[in-house]
Amino acid sequence: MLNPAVSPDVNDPNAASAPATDAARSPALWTDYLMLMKPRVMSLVVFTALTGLVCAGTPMNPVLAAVAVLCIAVGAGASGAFNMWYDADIDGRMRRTRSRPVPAGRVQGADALGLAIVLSLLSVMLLAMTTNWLAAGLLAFTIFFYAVVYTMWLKRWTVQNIVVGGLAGALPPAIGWAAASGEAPLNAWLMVLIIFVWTPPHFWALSLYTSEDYAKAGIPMLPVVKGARSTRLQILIYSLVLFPVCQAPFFTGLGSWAYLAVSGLGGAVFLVLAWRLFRSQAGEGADPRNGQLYDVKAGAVDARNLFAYSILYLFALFATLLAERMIGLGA
Amino acid sequence: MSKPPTPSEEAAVDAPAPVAAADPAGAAPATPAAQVPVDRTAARRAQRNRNLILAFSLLAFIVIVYLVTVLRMGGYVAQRPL
Repeated sequence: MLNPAVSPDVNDPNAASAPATDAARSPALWTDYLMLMKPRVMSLVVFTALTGLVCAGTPMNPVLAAVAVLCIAVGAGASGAFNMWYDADIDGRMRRTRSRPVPAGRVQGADALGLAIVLSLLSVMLLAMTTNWLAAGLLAFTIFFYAVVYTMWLKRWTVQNIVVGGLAGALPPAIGWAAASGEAPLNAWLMVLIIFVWTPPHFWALSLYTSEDYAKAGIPMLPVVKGARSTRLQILIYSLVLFPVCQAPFFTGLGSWAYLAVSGLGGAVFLVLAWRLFRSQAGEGADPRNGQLYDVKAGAVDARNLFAYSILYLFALFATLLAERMIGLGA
Repeated sequence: MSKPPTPSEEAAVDAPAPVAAADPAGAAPATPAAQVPVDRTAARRAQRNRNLILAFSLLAFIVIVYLVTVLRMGGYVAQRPL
């Protein structure tokens, strides 16, 4: 069943009778189709998958390795296209997402769905052909989990949407590892666990100062349903759990001393920021200003700081693992 | 948990006004004639670019499949028993 949020194809000559509005006058550019694939999310997926692939330590033909990473990136893009197709209705209600190709009327919902299906099939089959069925199966599961379990089910149903749904974004290192070695051992799942536990404080920090947008769309994000104070407490709890999880790779041999230093010092800073956020008034009360979406509300600076730092921290962890392996440190 | 929006709520928000007005029964207001050629020119240009990107993507896919096939077969493939 197609998403109801579809619009006439402005490229169809038969659609000339459509009213000439800004939306109708803008033809679908190839970049609109690229936007359906969420390129910024793809870049994170490429980086973490590449780290998993390199950390596997299995010699691999560089062309096959590049194709494997490409397949994982395209699979992530297919997930994004599924999400854009299904969520066009709520995307149209939020300032952050209303200019996306489908809610803006530049791309038909059916076209987004078609792109998602084709890219899913091609990426999974090509990854199976290039590497092995374990990697391809994990990629297929990731696409299914993001498109069906998260987008169609969890996102609109429970405040735990990003906690459980975060698994989809966490799996790429395991896929990369499996692509290189044909197996997914404990260390691969440790990398998955790091991203999985990192996701809630990362997203909830963002949602503390964009909760009005989520409320308008009817998405049960934690600050909308449970309130700001509960959200800040949850962020602190997940940050406390994240700290030992991030140190674990050193003790399993995945990371070396450099990794321990980065994860330890970086984790301590993460905890300090989470504690300051907990003690702050972030997310409390309405914003008296009528500013832009990402204008930070008074008192929400701590939320923004943690959100920005969380990105840096995750990048530093995986970059250190990658660098250690490339220079011969680590397991 | 939040209550999912009703179909009418969705329709009210989903469909931008110009889309909702594009009624094949003829209820839509007439398009200003001066703007139609501009739209079609831009649309043709956009379609041409999309076609080029699609052609390039298909070509890249063929090359990738060819390379992967050769690399996966490995050496001595010609000496393998049939």
